[in-house]
Amino acid sequence: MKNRKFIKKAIKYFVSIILFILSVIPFWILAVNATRSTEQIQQGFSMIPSHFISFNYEVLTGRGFGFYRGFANSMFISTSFTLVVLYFSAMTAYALVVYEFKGKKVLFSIIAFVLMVPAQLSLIGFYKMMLNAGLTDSYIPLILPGLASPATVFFMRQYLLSSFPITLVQAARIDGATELSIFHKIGLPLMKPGLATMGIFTFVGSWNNLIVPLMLISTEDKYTLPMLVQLLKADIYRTEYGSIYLGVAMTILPLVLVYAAFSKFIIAGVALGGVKE
Amino acid sequence: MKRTLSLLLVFVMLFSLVGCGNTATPEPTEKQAETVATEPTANKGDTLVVWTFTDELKGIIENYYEKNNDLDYKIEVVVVPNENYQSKLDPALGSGKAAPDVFAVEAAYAKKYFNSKYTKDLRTIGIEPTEIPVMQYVKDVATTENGELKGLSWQATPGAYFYRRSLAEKYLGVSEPEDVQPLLADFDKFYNAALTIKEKSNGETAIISSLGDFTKVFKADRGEGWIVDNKFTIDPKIEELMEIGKKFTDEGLTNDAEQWSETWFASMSNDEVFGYFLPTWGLHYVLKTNAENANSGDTTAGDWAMVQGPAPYFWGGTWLTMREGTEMEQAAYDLINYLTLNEEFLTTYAKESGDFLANMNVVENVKDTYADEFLAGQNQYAMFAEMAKGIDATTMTGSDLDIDELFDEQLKAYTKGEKNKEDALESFTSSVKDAFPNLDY
Amino acid sequence: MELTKSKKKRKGGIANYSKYGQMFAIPFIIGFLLFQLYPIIYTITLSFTDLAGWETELNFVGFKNYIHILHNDHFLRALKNTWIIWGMNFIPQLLVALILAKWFTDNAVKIKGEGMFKAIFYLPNIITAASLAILFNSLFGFPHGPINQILIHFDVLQEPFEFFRSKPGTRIIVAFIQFWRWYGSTFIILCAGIMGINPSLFEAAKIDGASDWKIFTNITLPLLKPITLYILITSLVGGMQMFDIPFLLTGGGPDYAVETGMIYVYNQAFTGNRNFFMSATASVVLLLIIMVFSALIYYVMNKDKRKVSR
Repeated sequence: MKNRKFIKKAIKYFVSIILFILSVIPFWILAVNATRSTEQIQQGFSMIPSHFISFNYEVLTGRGFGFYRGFANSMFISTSFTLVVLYFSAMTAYALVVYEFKGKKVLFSIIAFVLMVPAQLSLIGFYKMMLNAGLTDSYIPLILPGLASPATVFFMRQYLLSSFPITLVQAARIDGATELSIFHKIGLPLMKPGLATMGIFTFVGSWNNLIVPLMLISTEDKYTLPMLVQLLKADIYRTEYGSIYLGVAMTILPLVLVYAAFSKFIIAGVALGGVKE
Repeated sequence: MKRTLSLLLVFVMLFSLVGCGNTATPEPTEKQAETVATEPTANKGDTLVVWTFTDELKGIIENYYEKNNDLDYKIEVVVVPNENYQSKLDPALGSGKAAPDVFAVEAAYAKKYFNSKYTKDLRTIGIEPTEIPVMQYVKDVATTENGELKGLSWQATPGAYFYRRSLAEKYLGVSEPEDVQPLLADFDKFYNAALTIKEKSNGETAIISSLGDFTKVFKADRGEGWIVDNKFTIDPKIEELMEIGKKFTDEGLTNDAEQWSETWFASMSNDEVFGYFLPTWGLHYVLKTNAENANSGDTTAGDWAMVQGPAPYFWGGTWLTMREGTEMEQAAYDLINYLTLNEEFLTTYAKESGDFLANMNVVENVKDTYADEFLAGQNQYAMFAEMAKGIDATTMTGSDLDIDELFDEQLKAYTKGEKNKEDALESFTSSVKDAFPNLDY
Repeated sequence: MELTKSKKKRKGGIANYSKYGQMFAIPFIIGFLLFQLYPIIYTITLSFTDLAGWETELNFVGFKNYIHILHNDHFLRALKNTWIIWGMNFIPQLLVALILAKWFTDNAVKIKGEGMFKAIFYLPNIITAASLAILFNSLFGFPHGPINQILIHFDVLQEPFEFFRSKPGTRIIVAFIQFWRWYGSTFIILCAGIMGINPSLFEAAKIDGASDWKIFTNITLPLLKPITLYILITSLVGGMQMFDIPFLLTGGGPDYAVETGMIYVYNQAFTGNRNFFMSATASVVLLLIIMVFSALIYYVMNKDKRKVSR
């Protein structure tokens, strides 16, 4: 018995370490390339850092790479978008699980349908619509569509289906709580692990989103970080790969930090604190 | 299967007929041109919006245009990287909302915009093509079938073949450009030279790095472009290119690299590759920057020389064009006029940047002042000026970027032995049909 | 089934709560109407026209495009590629994620640094596809890329192998990148699902002397059904829409081996003659395929659920 446990542990270590290496290597390469000159990168691959990081940084900022500005913009957009997505998706999912109402089936069908619509498909129509509505160069089309995020609603619904104790809601009603406050005080806290999971995915997705902001935003003051990095490619003659890598690394860094903060929820497993009977 | 295909073909043809009626007929603006006043209308807004895909134009506007002119409006330059440029530009032009007043287009797709109704004929606002000292091919690119002039450029980008003097001395026995050029003057000679180099170097040195290096030159040598009178056309030169490409690959006359890959750059600083086909900007921004090995510091600078090679060609280039219906017509005109025709500015700019220009008066004035140490003292400017005269841009079409890409894929498949020639050509034609159902076949 | 019935009965008694369900769904509906309905209708409309290039007028042609596209070898090839690559990435992805989720929620086999490992597995997902594509391009570069050098060094290969000219080679690389980008998030979702299961169920089973494996197959898996359904459907949706990695890595090559349905959609709309009608038709067909298979998965999973709950 003990032996078997030991072997199990050994296999677990082994697989985990391999996956660990696979996960970390690209970050290492990114970091290394951020310290190498464009010519070094163009002429060959290396895992050993070089000494061009300050040069790359100069090129980066010399091109008007307003890192802090871009950072603030990205932070604002991604945070707002994530909050909108999480709050309203939780609300919709809660409605789907807790209430019986007319049109529930229709609503669920709409959610499932929108989930399946290829994103690329909507892009042209979306852009045209925003042009006609005069909403280009504005953050509204980057944040408000979060109101209807079918994947998150779908996930939260599935999550609640597998774990939500409906009896708590009924008990709260007897205590005289309003429906909205039941949602806030019982629904949301119970959804925390699920929301944290979706929160990370949503935030990362929004932070890395390039195409939509690139199509819509034209004023440089409003550029997001990935747009600024992409802008480094806007030199037909010569691409400064060293500074692009540095830019990418600097773009990823905040994400890693945000992720580290969020991931506590997942790792610690704040699982359904309210239902432990 | 064949029947379905032919049915499809009929459909496609029917379809393209319908399509033609709607799209391919250019707007009959020519008559208007003679009656309408030849002056731009006054500005109706307070901001001139310029879209471009490089920071080069942005720099020129900020460092020269805005500094030297007292403008009573703002200029907003929006830089959109090339890969997303057209997808952002097209809907904006179509809707006319949030659209630029002036925008830059690149050679690879310039004609798409010049042939559309969204660009203004510069003749209608006082730029007469016959009276301006701009190189013929630069004007040709921007001229439509009806003779409208839809754009102008400040630069010209003729291409050359850059080779290593020391390797030429070693393997060909001569090193000076005037002695080397005769050995490379057409593709047969180029092939023979490639064989000699390979043999004498024991396969250590290849005449080109990538097959992609000379497809551009070969295509420039064609009699007809991909599309002639709305009909998809494969010039006999294309099959020749496939043959010679296959020969080069099979006999190991290239360095087996992909253009813009690590190996391609790396052999600029070692002896694996004899030379590169590159245009004006390629000399300054590709070759010069990579001639020094970034790790060891070994350099090939000073060992290079340039010749025309087998055929004159050009590569890249940025044109400026004005949106039809802009509210800032005067400002747009002023900008284009200044950047492409103001000789005082252009002279300063040529001297400060070394960029090769399209304005012949300026080129004549400055060309004798250059001697590039990188090329062991050769005057690249004067040579480019000579080469530019031989460029023929008439085979260029607005669809070259896409069709070239589809062709290059099959060229690779064929030269690398994945397919035979017939299959490769068939795949090519079929993919062009899929992308361009509007053409005749 | 019985469970839902009894739920209905319970709620049926308190009729006036139903309006809250509708109220809570209003923001979603508004977002949907404002930002998603129009683009969807617009695309579906385009698929019945012949809009291309600079045209702006809609000229309706009926079902012609749909008849065309079903005979279009290029599109069919793209569909086939999509399924192949998705299968190659999804099956290992789900298996690995399930195994990891079992390991990492199992208190019996705890290892050091568990939390860190858990967090790290998701990391590949936060690098943008564009950076990943550049990275893998140089890793598998020909002839002097690091992978080639390593393989030659260890005598696996005699001479450099051009990965991106090999159809199976490129497909495997694309599938691997997809796998590697997404197994972490699948793993996290599964963990969240497992942790959502009432712990008293596990404890009870343990007291009854059930083995680890028994608990996993008899309690964890059945209770994970809703989450697994979510993973299956979102992965199918994502897989059928696979675009950025193959597009940025090779543009769909060599010889269209990794040209997916979505790349076809993109190329039709943004390159060539810009055949918006074909692009729209292809995406509607993709949408239909996704819907049919999602419905199928949904049906099969729910059928299973009924069996299990009995």
